[in-house]
Amino acid sequence: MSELRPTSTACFRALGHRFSVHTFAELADHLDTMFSALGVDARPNHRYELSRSGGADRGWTLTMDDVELVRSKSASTVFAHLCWHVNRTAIDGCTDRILLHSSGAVDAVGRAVLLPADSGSGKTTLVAGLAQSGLAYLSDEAVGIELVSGTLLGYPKPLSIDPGSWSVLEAIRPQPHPAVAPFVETQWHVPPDALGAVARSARAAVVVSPSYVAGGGTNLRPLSPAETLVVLAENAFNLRGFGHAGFETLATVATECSGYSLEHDDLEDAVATITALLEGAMPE
Amino acid sequence: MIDEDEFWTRDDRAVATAVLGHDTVLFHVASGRIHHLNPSASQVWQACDGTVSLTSVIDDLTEHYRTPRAQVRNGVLGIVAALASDELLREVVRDPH
Repeated sequence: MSELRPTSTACFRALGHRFSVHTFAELADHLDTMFSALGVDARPNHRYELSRSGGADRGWTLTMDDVELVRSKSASTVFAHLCWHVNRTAIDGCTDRILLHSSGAVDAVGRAVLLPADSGSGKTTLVAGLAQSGLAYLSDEAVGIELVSGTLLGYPKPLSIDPGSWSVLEAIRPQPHPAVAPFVETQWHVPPDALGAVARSARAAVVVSPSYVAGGGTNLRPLSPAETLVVLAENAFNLRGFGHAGFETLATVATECSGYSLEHDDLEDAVATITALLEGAMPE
Repeated sequence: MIDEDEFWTRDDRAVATAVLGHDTVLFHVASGRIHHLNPSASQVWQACDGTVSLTSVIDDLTEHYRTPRAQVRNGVLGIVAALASDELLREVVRDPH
Protein backbone atom coordinates (compact mmCIF):
# COMPACT_ATOMS: atom_id res chain seq x y z
CA MET A 1 0.00 0.00 0.00
CA SER A 2 2.66 2.43 -1.04
CA GLU A 3 0.18 4.83 -2.60
CA LEU A 4 -3.40 5.45 -1.58
CA ARG A 5 -5.64 6.65 -4.37
CA PRO A 6 -8.77 8.06 -2.75
CA THR A 7 -12.14 7.39 -4.27
CA SER A 8 -15.75 6.96 -3.21
CA THR A 9 -17.97 3.94 -3.22
CA ALA A 10 -21.42 3.79 -4.71
CA CYS A 11 -24.37 4.92 -2.62
CA PHE A 12 -25.83 2.23 -0.37
CA ARG A 13 -29.07 2.14 1.58
CA ALA A 14 -29.07 0.14 4.80
CA LEU A 15 -32.78 0.33 5.71
CA GLY A 16 -33.18 4.14 5.74
CA HIS A 17 -29.47 4.94 6.16
CA ARG A 18 -28.08 6.15 2.81
CA PHE A 19 -24.33 6.42 2.79
CA SER A 20 -21.14 6.23 0.79
CA VAL A 21 -17.56 5.65 1.89
CA HIS A 22 -14.58 7.69 0.78
CA THR A 23 -11.37 5.71 1.07
CA PHE A 24 -8.51 4.27 -0.98
CA ALA A 25 -9.42 2.54 -4.22
CA GLU A 26 -8.85 -1.09 -3.26
CA LEU A 27 -10.94 -0.76 -0.11
CA ALA A 28 -13.65 1.15 -1.99
CA ASP A 29 -13.82 -1.71 -4.50
CA HIS A 30 -14.08 -4.17 -1.61
CA LEU A 31 -16.93 -2.17 -0.06
CA ASP A 32 -18.72 -1.89 -3.40
CA THR A 33 -18.72 -5.68 -3.60
CA MET A 34 -19.53 -6.20 0.06
CA PHE A 35 -22.54 -3.85 0.08
CA SER A 36 -23.64 -4.55 -3.50
CA ALA A 37 -27.08 -5.84 -2.41
CA LEU A 38 -27.71 -2.49 -0.70
CA GLY A 39 -26.72 -0.37 -3.70
CA VAL A 40 -29.14 2.37 -4.77
CA ASP A 41 -29.18 4.97 -7.50
CA ALA A 42 -29.49 7.94 -5.16
CA ARG A 43 -27.46 10.54 -3.37
CA PRO A 44 -26.08 9.54 0.02
CA ASN A 45 -27.26 11.37 3.14
CA HIS A 46 -24.06 10.54 4.96
CA ARG A 47 -20.46 10.24 3.91
CA TYR A 48 -17.98 8.10 5.79
CA GLU A 49 -14.28 8.59 5.25
CA LEU A 50 -11.74 5.96 6.20
CA SER A 51 -8.22 7.30 5.81
CA ARG A 52 -4.73 7.38 7.24
CA SER A 53 -4.50 9.24 10.53
CA GLY A 54 -2.32 12.29 10.69
CA GLY A 55 0.63 12.44 13.07
CA ALA A 56 3.21 9.85 13.91
CA ASP A 57 1.04 6.85 14.74
CA ARG A 58 0.23 6.09 11.07
CA GLY A 59 -3.00 4.46 12.09
CA TRP A 60 -6.46 4.84 10.59
CA THR A 61 -9.31 7.25 11.21
CA LEU A 62 -13.00 6.83 10.45
CA THR A 63 -15.27 9.85 10.20
CA MET A 64 -18.91 10.35 9.26
CA ASP A 65 -19.87 13.76 7.89
CA ASP A 66 -16.45 15.00 9.06
CA VAL A 67 -17.07 13.93 12.68
CA GLU A 68 -14.47 11.47 13.96
CA LEU A 69 -15.96 8.12 15.00
CA VAL A 70 -12.84 6.13 15.78
CA ARG A 71 -9.08 6.26 15.39
CA SER A 72 -6.81 3.23 15.80
CA LYS A 73 -3.53 1.72 14.72
CA SER A 74 -5.51 -1.42 13.92
CA ALA A 75 -7.06 -1.37 10.46
CA SER A 76 -9.43 -4.19 11.41
CA THR A 77 -10.68 -2.25 14.44
CA VAL A 78 -11.55 0.75 12.30
CA PHE A 79 -13.18 -1.37 9.61
CA ALA A 80 -15.22 -3.31 12.18
CA HIS A 81 -16.39 0.00 13.59
CA LEU A 82 -17.49 1.14 10.14
CA CYS A 83 -19.57 -2.03 9.69
CA TRP A 84 -21.00 -1.74 13.19
CA HIS A 85 -21.83 1.95 12.75
CA VAL A 86 -23.61 1.41 9.44
CA ASN A 87 -25.71 -1.36 10.93
CA ARG A 88 -26.41 0.44 14.20
CA THR A 89 -27.45 3.64 12.43
CA ALA A 90 -29.69 1.67 10.08
CA ILE A 91 -31.43 -0.17 12.91
CA ASP A 92 -31.75 2.81 15.25
CA GLY A 93 -33.25 4.94 12.49
CA CYS A 94 -35.76 2.37 11.28
CA THR A 95 -39.33 3.55 11.85
CA ASP A 96 -41.21 2.33 8.77
CA ARG A 97 -41.40 -1.34 9.77
CA ILE A 98 -41.23 -3.54 12.83
CA LEU A 99 -37.65 -4.70 12.96
CA LEU A 100 -36.74 -8.07 14.44
CA HIS A 101 -33.32 -9.08 15.71
CA SER A 102 -33.39 -12.09 13.45
CA SER A 103 -31.81 -13.73 10.48
CA GLY A 104 -34.01 -15.20 7.80
CA ALA A 105 -34.11 -17.20 4.59
CA VAL A 106 -36.73 -18.10 2.00
CA ASP A 107 -37.32 -21.36 0.15
CA ALA A 108 -38.10 -21.79 -3.54
CA VAL A 109 -41.87 -21.48 -3.04
CA GLY A 110 -41.67 -18.32 -0.95
CA ARG A 111 -41.88 -19.75 2.58
CA ALA A 112 -39.59 -17.96 5.00
CA VAL A 113 -37.92 -19.13 8.16
CA LEU A 114 -37.21 -16.51 10.78
CA LEU A 115 -34.36 -17.11 13.24
CA PRO A 116 -34.87 -14.54 16.02
CA ALA A 117 -32.32 -14.60 18.81
CA ASP A 118 -29.68 -12.70 20.71
CA SER A 119 -26.14 -12.27 19.43
CA GLY A 120 -24.02 -15.39 19.81
CA SER A 121 -26.86 -17.81 19.14
CA GLY A 122 -25.67 -18.78 15.67
CA LYS A 123 -28.11 -16.73 13.59
CA THR A 124 -25.53 -15.74 11.00
CA THR A 125 -23.93 -19.17 10.73
CA LEU A 126 -27.32 -20.84 10.32
CA VAL A 127 -28.51 -18.45 7.65
CA ALA A 128 -25.20 -18.85 5.80
CA GLY A 129 -25.71 -22.62 5.89
CA LEU A 130 -29.31 -22.26 4.71
CA ALA A 131 -28.22 -19.99 1.87
CA GLN A 132 -25.54 -22.49 0.87
CA SER A 133 -28.23 -25.17 0.77
CA GLY A 134 -30.21 -23.16 -1.77
CA LEU A 135 -32.47 -20.86 0.23
CA ALA A 136 -32.58 -17.15 -0.59
CA TYR A 137 -31.08 -14.77 1.93
CA LEU A 138 -33.25 -12.23 3.79
CA SER A 139 -30.80 -11.02 6.43
CA ASP A 140 -28.32 -12.20 9.02
CA GLU A 141 -29.23 -9.53 11.56
CA ALA A 142 -32.54 -7.70 11.13
CA VAL A 143 -35.72 -8.67 9.31
CA GLY A 144 -38.50 -6.14 8.82
CA ILE A 145 -42.20 -6.90 9.27
CA GLU A 146 -44.67 -4.67 7.48
CA LEU A 147 -47.32 -3.32 9.81
CA VAL A 148 -50.74 -4.99 9.46
CA SER A 149 -49.88 -7.23 6.47
CA GLY A 150 -47.12 -9.05 8.34
CA THR A 151 -45.04 -9.31 5.15
CA LEU A 152 -41.36 -9.89 5.86
CA LEU A 153 -38.96 -7.34 4.38
CA GLY A 154 -35.34 -8.26 3.82
CA TYR A 155 -32.27 -6.33 4.86
CA PRO A 156 -29.56 -7.89 2.69
CA LYS A 157 -26.52 -6.63 4.54
CA PRO A 158 -23.25 -8.51 4.19
CA LEU A 159 -23.02 -11.52 6.47
CA SER A 160 -20.70 -10.74 9.38
CA ILE A 161 -19.02 -14.03 10.23
CA ASP A 162 -16.89 -14.39 13.34
CA PRO A 163 -13.81 -16.65 13.53
CA GLY A 164 -15.68 -19.33 15.50
CA SER A 165 -17.68 -20.19 12.38
CA TRP A 166 -14.92 -19.95 9.79
CA SER A 167 -14.10 -23.66 9.83
CA VAL A 168 -17.66 -24.69 8.90
CA LEU A 169 -18.05 -21.97 6.27
CA GLU A 170 -14.70 -22.36 4.53
CA ALA A 171 -16.41 -22.47 1.13
CA ILE A 172 -17.44 -18.82 1.39
CA ARG A 173 -14.14 -17.48 2.74
CA PRO A 174 -13.61 -14.04 1.14
CA GLN A 175 -10.47 -13.47 -0.93
CA PRO A 176 -9.68 -9.81 -0.32
CA HIS A 177 -7.10 -7.77 -2.19
CA PRO A 178 -3.78 -7.83 -0.27
CA ALA A 179 -4.17 -4.12 0.50
CA VAL A 180 -7.55 -4.86 2.09
CA ALA A 181 -6.57 -8.00 4.03
CA PRO A 182 -5.50 -6.15 7.23
CA PHE A 183 -8.96 -4.58 7.46
CA VAL A 184 -10.87 -7.86 7.42
CA GLU A 185 -8.61 -10.19 9.35
CA THR A 186 -10.88 -10.42 12.42
CA GLN A 187 -14.26 -10.88 10.74
CA TRP A 188 -15.49 -12.01 7.34
CA HIS A 189 -17.97 -9.78 5.56
CA VAL A 190 -19.58 -11.91 2.89
CA PRO A 191 -21.77 -10.26 0.24
CA PRO A 192 -25.10 -12.10 0.13
CA ASP A 193 -25.02 -12.58 -3.61
CA ALA A 194 -21.86 -14.66 -3.12
CA LEU A 195 -24.14 -17.24 -1.48
CA GLY A 196 -26.92 -17.25 -4.06
CA ALA A 197 -30.26 -15.52 -4.34
CA VAL A 198 -31.40 -12.58 -2.22
CA ALA A 199 -35.06 -12.29 -1.19
CA ARG A 200 -36.59 -8.85 -0.72
CA SER A 201 -39.89 -9.96 0.81
CA ALA A 202 -41.70 -13.14 1.86
CA ARG A 203 -44.30 -14.58 4.21
CA ALA A 204 -43.11 -16.22 7.40
CA ALA A 205 -43.90 -19.94 7.63
CA VAL A 206 -41.59 -21.10 10.42
CA VAL A 207 -40.04 -19.33 13.41
CA VAL A 208 -37.01 -21.04 14.91
CA SER A 209 -35.36 -19.54 17.96
CA PRO A 210 -31.80 -20.88 17.84
CA SER A 211 -29.20 -21.25 20.55
CA TYR A 212 -25.73 -22.64 20.05
CA VAL A 213 -24.84 -25.19 22.75
CA ALA A 214 -21.42 -26.77 22.22
CA GLY A 215 -21.63 -30.53 22.63
CA GLY A 216 -25.39 -30.42 23.05
CA GLY A 217 -26.39 -31.94 19.73
CA THR A 218 -29.47 -30.87 17.81
CA ASN A 219 -32.57 -30.51 19.96
CA LEU A 220 -35.82 -29.19 18.57
CA ARG A 221 -38.76 -28.22 20.77
CA PRO A 222 -42.11 -27.00 19.45
CA LEU A 223 -43.31 -23.66 20.79
CA SER A 224 -46.94 -22.77 21.40
CA PRO A 225 -48.29 -19.77 19.48
CA ALA A 226 -48.02 -17.74 22.68
CA GLU A 227 -44.38 -18.76 23.17
CA THR A 228 -43.71 -17.92 19.51
CA LEU A 229 -45.24 -14.48 19.98
CA VAL A 230 -43.08 -13.90 23.06
CA VAL A 231 -39.96 -14.82 21.06
CA LEU A 232 -40.93 -12.41 18.27
CA ALA A 233 -41.87 -9.56 20.60
CA GLU A 234 -38.79 -9.90 22.79
CA ASN A 235 -36.57 -9.77 19.71
CA ALA A 236 -38.20 -6.69 18.19
CA PHE A 237 -35.92 -3.66 18.18
CA ASN A 238 -38.63 -1.04 17.85
CA LEU A 239 -41.98 -2.54 18.87
CA ARG A 240 -42.82 0.27 21.29
CA GLY A 241 -43.00 2.69 18.39
CA PHE A 242 -45.82 0.71 16.81
CA GLY A 243 -47.91 0.18 19.97
CA HIS A 244 -50.99 -2.02 19.82
CA ALA A 245 -50.96 -2.31 16.02
CA GLY A 246 -47.39 -3.60 16.04
CA PHE A 247 -48.12 -6.19 18.69
CA GLU A 248 -51.23 -7.35 16.83
CA THR A 249 -49.15 -7.72 13.67
CA LEU A 250 -46.66 -9.94 15.51
CA ALA A 251 -49.55 -11.96 16.98
CA THR A 252 -50.85 -12.56 13.47
CA VAL A 253 -47.40 -13.74 12.32
CA ALA A 254 -47.13 -16.01 15.37
CA THR A 255 -50.47 -17.66 14.65
CA GLU A 256 -49.65 -18.17 10.97
CA CYS A 257 -46.30 -19.84 11.69
CA SER A 258 -45.03 -22.96 13.35
CA GLY A 259 -42.68 -22.04 16.17
CA TYR A 260 -39.72 -23.94 17.58
CA SER A 261 -36.68 -23.54 19.75
CA LEU A 262 -33.55 -25.19 18.42
CA GLU A 263 -30.39 -26.04 20.33
CA HIS A 264 -27.66 -26.82 17.85
CA ASP A 265 -23.97 -27.50 17.63
CA ASP A 266 -23.67 -28.95 14.13
CA LEU A 267 -24.40 -26.74 11.13
CA GLU A 268 -25.28 -29.56 8.74
CA ASP A 269 -27.76 -31.13 11.18
CA ALA A 270 -29.33 -27.78 12.02
CA VAL A 271 -29.74 -26.84 8.35
CA ALA A 272 -31.34 -30.23 7.61
CA THR A 273 -33.70 -29.79 10.56
CA ILE A 274 -34.80 -26.30 9.52
CA THR A 275 -35.17 -27.30 5.88
CA ALA A 276 -37.41 -30.19 6.90
CA LEU A 277 -39.54 -27.84 8.99
CA LEU A 278 -39.98 -25.54 6.00
CA GLU A 279 -40.89 -28.46 3.73
CA GLY A 280 -43.57 -29.46 6.23
CA ALA A 281 -44.99 -25.95 6.42
CA MET A 282 -48.08 -24.92 4.53
CA PRO A 283 -47.33 -23.86 0.94
CA GLU A 284 -47.32 -20.13 0.38
CA MET B 1 -52.07 -5.88 49.96
CA ILE B 2 -55.01 -6.78 47.74
CA ASP B 3 -58.46 -7.35 49.28
CA GLU B 4 -61.01 -9.51 47.64
CA ASP B 5 -63.75 -6.90 47.84
CA GLU B 6 -61.78 -4.64 45.52
CA PHE B 7 -62.55 -4.07 41.83
CA TRP B 8 -59.68 -4.27 39.36
CA THR B 9 -59.56 -3.61 35.65
CA ARG B 10 -57.26 -4.12 32.71
CA ASP B 11 -55.61 -1.00 31.37
CA ASP B 12 -56.46 -1.61 27.73
CA ARG B 13 -54.91 1.64 26.54
CA ALA B 14 -51.57 0.87 28.12
CA VAL B 15 -51.53 -2.86 27.45
CA ALA B 16 -51.96 -4.72 24.17
CA THR B 17 -53.40 -8.20 24.58
CA ALA B 18 -53.18 -11.33 22.41
CA VAL B 19 -55.17 -14.41 23.42
CA LEU B 20 -53.58 -17.48 21.84
CA GLY B 21 -55.25 -20.73 22.80
CA HIS B 22 -55.58 -20.80 26.59
CA ASP B 23 -52.60 -18.48 27.07
CA THR B 24 -52.45 -14.70 26.90
CA VAL B 25 -49.51 -12.52 25.94
CA LEU B 26 -49.45 -8.92 27.12
CA PHE B 27 -47.37 -6.04 25.81
CA HIS B 28 -47.00 -3.03 28.10
CA VAL B 29 -46.49 -0.40 25.45
CA ALA B 30 -44.81 2.28 27.53
CA SER B 31 -42.18 0.00 29.06
CA GLY B 32 -41.89 -2.50 26.19
CA ARG B 33 -42.22 -5.40 28.63
CA ILE B 34 -43.76 -8.68 27.46
CA HIS B 35 -45.74 -10.92 29.82
CA HIS B 36 -46.85 -14.48 29.12
CA LEU B 37 -49.88 -15.52 31.18
CA ASN B 38 -50.63 -19.22 31.70
CA PRO B 39 -54.25 -20.40 31.45
CA SER B 40 -55.04 -19.66 35.11
CA ALA B 41 -53.60 -16.15 34.98
CA SER B 42 -55.35 -15.61 31.65
CA GLN B 43 -58.72 -16.35 33.26
CA VAL B 44 -58.04 -13.83 36.01
CA TRP B 45 -56.92 -11.28 33.42
CA GLN B 46 -60.07 -11.75 31.38
CA ALA B 47 -62.30 -11.55 34.46
CA CYS B 48 -60.84 -8.27 35.68
CA ASP B 49 -62.97 -5.90 33.62
CA GLY B 50 -63.71 -3.47 36.44
CA THR B 51 -67.39 -4.41 36.73
CA VAL B 52 -67.08 -7.22 39.28
CA SER B 53 -65.24 -7.54 42.57
CA LEU B 54 -62.47 -10.04 43.13
CA THR B 55 -64.90 -11.86 45.42
CA SER B 56 -67.03 -12.56 42.38
CA VAL B 57 -64.00 -13.64 40.34
CA ILE B 58 -62.91 -16.01 43.12
CA ASP B 59 -66.41 -17.43 43.47
CA ASP B 60 -66.74 -18.05 39.74
CA LEU B 61 -63.35 -19.80 39.52
CA THR B 62 -64.06 -21.82 42.66
CA GLU B 63 -67.23 -23.14 41.07
CA HIS B 64 -65.55 -23.70 37.71
CA TYR B 65 -62.62 -25.69 39.08
CA ARG B 66 -64.45 -27.25 42.06
CA THR B 67 -61.42 -26.38 44.15
CA PRO B 68 -61.36 -25.17 47.79
CA ARG B 69 -62.16 -21.46 47.83
CA ALA B 70 -59.19 -20.56 50.00
CA GLN B 71 -56.85 -22.06 47.43
CA VAL B 72 -58.47 -20.16 44.56
CA ARG B 73 -58.50 -16.97 46.64
CA ASN B 74 -54.76 -17.19 47.28
CA GLY B 75 -54.12 -17.79 43.60
CA VAL B 76 -56.31 -14.94 42.35
CA LEU B 77 -55.00 -12.38 44.84
CA GLY B 78 -51.44 -13.40 44.01
CA ILE B 79 -52.02 -13.05 40.29
CA VAL B 80 -53.74 -9.67 40.69
CA ALA B 81 -50.89 -8.44 42.90
CA ALA B 82 -48.30 -9.52 40.32
CA LEU B 83 -50.21 -7.95 37.43
CA ALA B 84 -50.76 -4.77 39.43
CA SER B 85 -47.09 -4.46 40.33
CA ASP B 86 -46.28 -4.63 36.61
CA GLU B 87 -48.86 -1.88 35.96
CA LEU B 88 -51.02 -4.18 33.88
CA LEU B 89 -54.08 -3.98 36.15
CA ARG B 90 -55.32 -0.95 38.05
CA GLU B 91 -57.78 -0.71 40.89
CA VAL B 92 -61.17 0.81 40.18
CA VAL B 93 -61.87 3.45 42.80
CA ARG B 94 -65.57 3.21 43.51
CA ASP B 95 -67.77 6.01 44.70
CA PRO B 96 -68.85 5.06 48.24
CA HIS B 97 -72.25 6.65 47.55
